[in-house]
Amino acid sequence: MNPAVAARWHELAPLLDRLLDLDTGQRDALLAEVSDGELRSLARDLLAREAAQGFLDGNSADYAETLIGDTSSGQPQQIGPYRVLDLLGEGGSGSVYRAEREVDGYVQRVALKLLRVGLRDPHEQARFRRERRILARLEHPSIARLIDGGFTPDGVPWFALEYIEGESIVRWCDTRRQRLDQRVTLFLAVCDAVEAAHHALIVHRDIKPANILVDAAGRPRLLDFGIAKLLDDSEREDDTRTGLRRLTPAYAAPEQFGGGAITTATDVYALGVLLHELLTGQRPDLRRPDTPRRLSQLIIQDHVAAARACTSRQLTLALRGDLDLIVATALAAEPARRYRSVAAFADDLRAHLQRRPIAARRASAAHRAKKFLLRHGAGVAAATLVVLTAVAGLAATWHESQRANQAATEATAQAQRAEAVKEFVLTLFAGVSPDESKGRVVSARELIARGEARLGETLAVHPELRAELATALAGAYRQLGVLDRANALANDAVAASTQGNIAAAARIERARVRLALAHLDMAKGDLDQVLADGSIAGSLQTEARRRLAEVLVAQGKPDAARQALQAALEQTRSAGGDATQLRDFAALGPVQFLAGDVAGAEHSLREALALSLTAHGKTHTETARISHDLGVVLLQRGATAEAAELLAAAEITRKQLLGENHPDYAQTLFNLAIARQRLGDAANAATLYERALTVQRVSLGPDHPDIASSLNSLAVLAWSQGDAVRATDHMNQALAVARRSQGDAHPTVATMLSSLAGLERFSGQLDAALVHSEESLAIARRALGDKHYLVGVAGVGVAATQFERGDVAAALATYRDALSVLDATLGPAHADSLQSRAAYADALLASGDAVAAGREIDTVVKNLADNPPAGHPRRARLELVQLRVRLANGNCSAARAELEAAAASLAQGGMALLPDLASAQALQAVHCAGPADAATLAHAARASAARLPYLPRRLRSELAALSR
Amino acid sequence: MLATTDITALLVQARRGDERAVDHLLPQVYERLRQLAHRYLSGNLHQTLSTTALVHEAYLSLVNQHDAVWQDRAHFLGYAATAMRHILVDHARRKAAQKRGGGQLALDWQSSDIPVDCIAGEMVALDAALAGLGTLDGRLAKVVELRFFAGLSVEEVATVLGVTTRSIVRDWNKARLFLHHALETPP
Repeated sequence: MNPAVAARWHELAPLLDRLLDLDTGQRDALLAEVSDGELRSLARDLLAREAAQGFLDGNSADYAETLIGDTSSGQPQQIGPYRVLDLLGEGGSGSVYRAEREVDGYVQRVALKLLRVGLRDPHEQARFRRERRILARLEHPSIARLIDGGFTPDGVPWFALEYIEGESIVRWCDTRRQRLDQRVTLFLAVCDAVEAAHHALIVHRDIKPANILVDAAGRPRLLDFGIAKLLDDSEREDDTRTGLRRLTPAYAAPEQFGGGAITTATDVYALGVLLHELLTGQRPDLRRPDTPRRLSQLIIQDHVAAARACTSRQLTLALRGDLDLIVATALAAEPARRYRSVAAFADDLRAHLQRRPIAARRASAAHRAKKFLLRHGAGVAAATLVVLTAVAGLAATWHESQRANQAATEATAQAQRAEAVKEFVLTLFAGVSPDESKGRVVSARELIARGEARLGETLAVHPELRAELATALAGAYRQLGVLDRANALANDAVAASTQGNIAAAARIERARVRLALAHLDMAKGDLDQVLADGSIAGSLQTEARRRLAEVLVAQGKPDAARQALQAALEQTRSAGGDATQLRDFAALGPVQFLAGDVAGAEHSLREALALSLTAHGKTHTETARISHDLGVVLLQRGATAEAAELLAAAEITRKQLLGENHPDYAQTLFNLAIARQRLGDAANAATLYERALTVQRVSLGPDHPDIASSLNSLAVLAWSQGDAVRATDHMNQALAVARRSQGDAHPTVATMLSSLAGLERFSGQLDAALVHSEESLAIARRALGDKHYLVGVAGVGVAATQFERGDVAAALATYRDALSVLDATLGPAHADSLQSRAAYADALLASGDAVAAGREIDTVVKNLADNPPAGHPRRARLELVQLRVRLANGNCSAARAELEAAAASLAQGGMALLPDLASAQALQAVHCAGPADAATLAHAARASAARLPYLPRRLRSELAALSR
Repeated sequence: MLATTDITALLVQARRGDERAVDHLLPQVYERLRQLAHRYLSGNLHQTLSTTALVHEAYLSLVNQHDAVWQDRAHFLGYAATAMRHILVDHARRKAAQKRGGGQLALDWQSSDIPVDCIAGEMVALDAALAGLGTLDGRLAKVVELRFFAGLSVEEVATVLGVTTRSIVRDWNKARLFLHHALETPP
């Protein structure tokens, strides 16, 4: 042990945390930044051990038996004809020695197993010999031969096995960093050996890594074939009561615990466990045998992935799909539901390696298409699956819609269409082999563009198919945020379709594109048309109602939106099922949220999350999406700590499953940043925003709404750190991106205008502030209707600007309107409502109505409860308003200590609260201090004010009072 | 052996921070684990010993399920992991002391068991390295105890220590590097 590791561990630990999160290239970059040479070399030395496998990486269970077990028996010199050389190992069942004998002039070396249990009954001994002879006939290059066997003078059975030099299969694979496909190939060789034994009617019964060695030639060799049966039978006389059998619990099939029949299916199960361990580095969780075993849901540690020459994310992705299903099939609790033979198990693995459909999956059209595409699209990035899934899904939809047709025409049409789809897809992928693309990764966008270009020529003869493909491509473009192309293709799709359901699907897609473009009336028109046609399939009608709800929300008609959703819910509820419910709740939540129903959204999303965790588990994109949405809702409700947890969970899952360049991942980073920021962790928040922005620019291009949001948040953060100039700069950038990507009429533009106006107010640009805040209010009203909290927030901005410009009467009226909206939507205790009401109280006070001001500010303080807590600067700001009102009402003595406390808290609040700090200091100087203190306090107030770019109206009059 | 209700009461006291309760608890858990282990290995059961199963079985047999709350289970697993470590290391010390003649054995050989001497030596060395880690960062050492000696899953360790699974994975990865280093570079 290098003593420097311990001495500098507290510096090493955080560095290792960061390094372990990175891939090799990034690690080198980070290490290069470490200026301290010793620290750098220590970190490098430790990291080099990441892929190493040592004692610690075993399971203590593997050692416990050996350590605790009784080992009192001494080593024999001779067993049968064999000379014992040394002890290889010992365990619960007996000891194994390396032994040798001379046969025909050469030395034969064997592994000699001496059991612990004696067999004295001659009948039992005879049966043991019979079994042994059967085993001795088993010859296969991958099975260690049973050479000999017998009984010691005490009646203890022994047998001699071919001596194999090798390493256990798991360790062999790990130390050589074998990839998944190499592991599967090696495992297939094991399957062949087991299958051969099964043909000879011999079941292994105790397949586990320690029983499979890989020799110097890289060939797996199975040990102890059928030995477990010998042991079982030999122990029967002692154990008839309990019926217990020798088994290795981690690898034993359920029927081995329950005393059920041991068949070849038992070996299938153990092979399933072995494959599980080879692929994931861990055994299946035996304590929950009823839960579905999904390899891709396991938490994969970095060193496990490294031993497979990939990253944990790549490993998770590779395990999804076929391998998940194959292992789950092998591990079915009921023997009848497993693969019928080891050969069938092996066949599916071979199919997987060759990218053919596997038998374990019911041959669905979508799956076949996906496989077909993969087989022809080697080297295509995973992102392109967006298109593939869309196309494959189409084939399935088409199949359904065709069912009504007559069988004969269907068959012909289907064949023709299948051919057309195949051709289309082939042209899509022409040239994406690594050779032709020169190793460049072909992006989803390129593929879609390619598909669009070929749409006309390839599919001219199949107008319906053309409509479906155009719909799918429009959806793909929409998801990438390329809305003009999406719109053109959606128009194309609607024009090309004649058949009812296909036309309806095209219209629904066009409505989604139009919604994204904020062409709300046109979007509604499409959806109304779908809903008016009674012959349209129920599932499409439901989909249309869901989309209609989104459109109505965007139009600021939350009640109508909810009605549309309720109708959709009723329609699906009759169909029932958790999956349907999950989808409904997950869809309803965001709509409720957009409609301003925060409590309803929270309820829906909590239900959805519970259902999704049951249905999909933790590591699943659906669960991540719902966690993310719920996190956003909780952020709005002010439950920041729980929101941060949910978002952190979503961040991990999305990073693992979607990769670091996915817009959804960026969105989670972004919202997590908000949560961290609210929790007071500005440093991490800034990093998260910057990361989100980088990902977004890569994945979404320069002009996307999400980029505007990130810039907006960076602005808010800069502002909270006191940098008004940078904040204004970020905000102007954000606004420009938002206007370009979402149009001038979008609510987001309204929010940003409102923020910009706030910054302008702070720096005294009152004309610009008025223009921007009024534009903000107008946009919000138009987009969201009068009763949306954003309208309230925008209204407060206008009121504050009016007040600052000296138009107090107009300001009071605007405040009252805005507050009634905020009270009705967010409730009077929400932070936004509290801040706004306090500002209103200040304005009332300035207008000379101290009584009304007192009433309003008392309402604020009453609603404060514990949030923010006492001493928090934002709370002090509200309390300061109350003190100001009290002083105006002539109540001075009681205010003194409180003013002092408020000033102390405000001093922690940074730039944003500087006007309030100056105000508190000025008030102290004027009202509550002796002559000596007063001078000091007046000086402090002036000093604070001097740091402001502009003196707000109220502060000006308070400072003026200092001179009097 | 105390009655299950007494153990449950000790857990409650320990949860409230009573050090003496911990002093009483550990030997009880140690003894119970030792008994269970020997019951597994004795006679003709010939089952492979699972430390995870032992720890959970000890909980079921020692703690009154009716009175216990979930925190008690988490705390119990914490103590049980320490006790399991003591048992394994004590046995390893004894085995290492009575080490028979014969040279060093390779760890990879051809059957289901690994040589006793190697395991005993590694176990004693691991215990010392882990003690060293414990003085630097107690939580890292605890994570190793829970994962390695009690065989708990990442999720279970997270529950016992009241932190996220992400932290546990980070802790484990760091602790692994430290211990690999300590075990591979002789003092």
